[in-house]
Amino acid sequence: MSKSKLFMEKNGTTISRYFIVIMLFMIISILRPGFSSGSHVKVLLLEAAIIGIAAIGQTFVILTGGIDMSVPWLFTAGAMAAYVSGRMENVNSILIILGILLGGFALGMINGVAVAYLGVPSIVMTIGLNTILQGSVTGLTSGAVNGAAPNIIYTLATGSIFNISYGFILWMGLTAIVMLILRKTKYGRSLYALGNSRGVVYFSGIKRQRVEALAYGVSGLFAALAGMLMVGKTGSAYLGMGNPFQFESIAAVALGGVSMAGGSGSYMGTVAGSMTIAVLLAVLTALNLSPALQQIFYGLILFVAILAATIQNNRKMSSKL
Amino acid sequence: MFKKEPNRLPLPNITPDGKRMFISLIILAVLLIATGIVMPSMISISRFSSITNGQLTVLLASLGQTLVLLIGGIDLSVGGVICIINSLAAVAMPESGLGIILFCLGCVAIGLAIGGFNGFIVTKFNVQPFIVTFTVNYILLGISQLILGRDGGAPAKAFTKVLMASFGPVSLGVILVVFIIVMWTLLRRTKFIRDVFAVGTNAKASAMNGINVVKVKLIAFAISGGCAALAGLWRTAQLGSGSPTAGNALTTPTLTIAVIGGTSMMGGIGGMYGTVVGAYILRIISDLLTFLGTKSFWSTVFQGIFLVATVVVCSVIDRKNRSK
Repeated sequence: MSKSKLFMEKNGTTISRYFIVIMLFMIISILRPGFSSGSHVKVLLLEAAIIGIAAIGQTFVILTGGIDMSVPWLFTAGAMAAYVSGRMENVNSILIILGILLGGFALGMINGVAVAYLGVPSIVMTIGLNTILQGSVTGLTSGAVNGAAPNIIYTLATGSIFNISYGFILWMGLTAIVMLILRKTKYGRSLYALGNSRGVVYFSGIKRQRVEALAYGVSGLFAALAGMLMVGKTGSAYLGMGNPFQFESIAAVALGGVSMAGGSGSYMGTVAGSMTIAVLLAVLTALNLSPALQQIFYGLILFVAILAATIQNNRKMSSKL
Repeated sequence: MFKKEPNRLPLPNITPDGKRMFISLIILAVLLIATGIVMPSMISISRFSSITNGQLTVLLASLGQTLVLLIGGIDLSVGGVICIINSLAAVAMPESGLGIILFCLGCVAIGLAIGGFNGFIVTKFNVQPFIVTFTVNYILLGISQLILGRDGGAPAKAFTKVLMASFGPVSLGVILVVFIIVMWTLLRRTKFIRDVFAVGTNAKASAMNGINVVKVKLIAFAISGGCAALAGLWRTAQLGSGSPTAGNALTTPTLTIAVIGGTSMMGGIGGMYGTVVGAYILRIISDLLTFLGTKSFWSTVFQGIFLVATVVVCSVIDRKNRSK
């Protein structure tokens, strides 16, 4: 088989996702001229970046064959923490951010330990943690907080160079790192192995439990980071701000062609999925539909897309056998 | 021609209601004693009636959830179905007696259809149940907001009056719970329910034993939708109004209740007796918390902790049993 053919076979699905985003974007740009203006694209890419960062950990978790339903309140917790901590003027803001990321990681690891070491089904465990965080964050902040996030977060979200926002550049940097981890490190390959066949992993000497637990920790870390970026973008933190990201983080992964059963897919696909969602949301808003109709269309489109991706994945699986 | 006997794999011993239900009964007993000590006035038949009426919405939805968990699936769309039926009943219910009955039958049919659709997608395309029901739930919430813009509306007066009826201190809700227990006692020995347990324990072995796995799964999802529709109707009668979004918060409690009741998330273990007990446990705990002056968000925290704690304990027990 020629090299280019092999490349297409390996990456064809992911490339087709980018094709879809670009087509979608072009069609809408023709229908709505303002859509492709530089400033609007900048906003779109920042939105995609927030979805994409929240979906990094979700990709890891789904690759292992699990699911993380606790993204929304990990996200809100990260956002709230960043917003409140801005009042601590004598603490270095980098330290604050690192502290919050570490906190997100630790909370995610609670899921990880329960799922990997105690054998708790990921879906109930993460729904449970989500509920706990929902109550705790609401209780600790009494519903409303005032403050300001460290300046560096605002700069990250709103600043730009050559009309490309720093947030997007951060996302691209993270994408490169994530791809390296997934493709080139033992950890990345173990994630795939775990999703493909737990039985084989058991005999292969991979530390299954450590690999699996870490995926949930990573998810907590990036949910908190996405939350902080969101604070930078909107300029405030509020309860429930992370709620859309439960659906969006999972949808981005599914749209990107990652198998919901685990073991196949790539983060490059999730990047395309995040961009698709950002464009889709912008279109639905631009169409001036009522929120109810928006939700129905959004849900329907993603339903069809997830279904198509799953059917495609199943077919690939059965043709491999 | 010789007809080849299909390969028969041994099916494990099926115990419709696991021993874990007794653990939940013990928890319930302890909680009742605690309630009796802390607030003795709460132990009365009329109090029991009102608790039952309040908890029947989530109990009805939990019954369907339990059935889906038993086949090894999960139904995250029960909240959405409750919202849709709740909104519909608060907006469109006719006033005449026959109209109300037909309307309710229609609502149950809608629930069955939504559940059946879930089951169809899950079995036909081999998609994970959580992602199908999660996405469907999202769409359902959009539709229910289309039906009812904001909280409000009212069902027919006769409808509320009949369902909220009580005979002396015993409410209709209590009678319905007794009915549920009797029905489960009669039904759990039927072929369908045994097939449900078999499919949940080992789908492949069940298929080889001639069980129509696709059909069993489809019916289980459909029944879950139907139960959620009944829950939506009950909620409308009980609160006397509709809400396009409030029912969505009931999905997590249905899981909690099923798991406290001893139903395994892995499928094949559990049953409705446990689910009924679980519904009361959850309510008594939240009543105790309220009595102790806990603010609502801390009781949310506690519900989460309770769900996690139960599921951790059950998973550890499951794992021990399996390694044996």
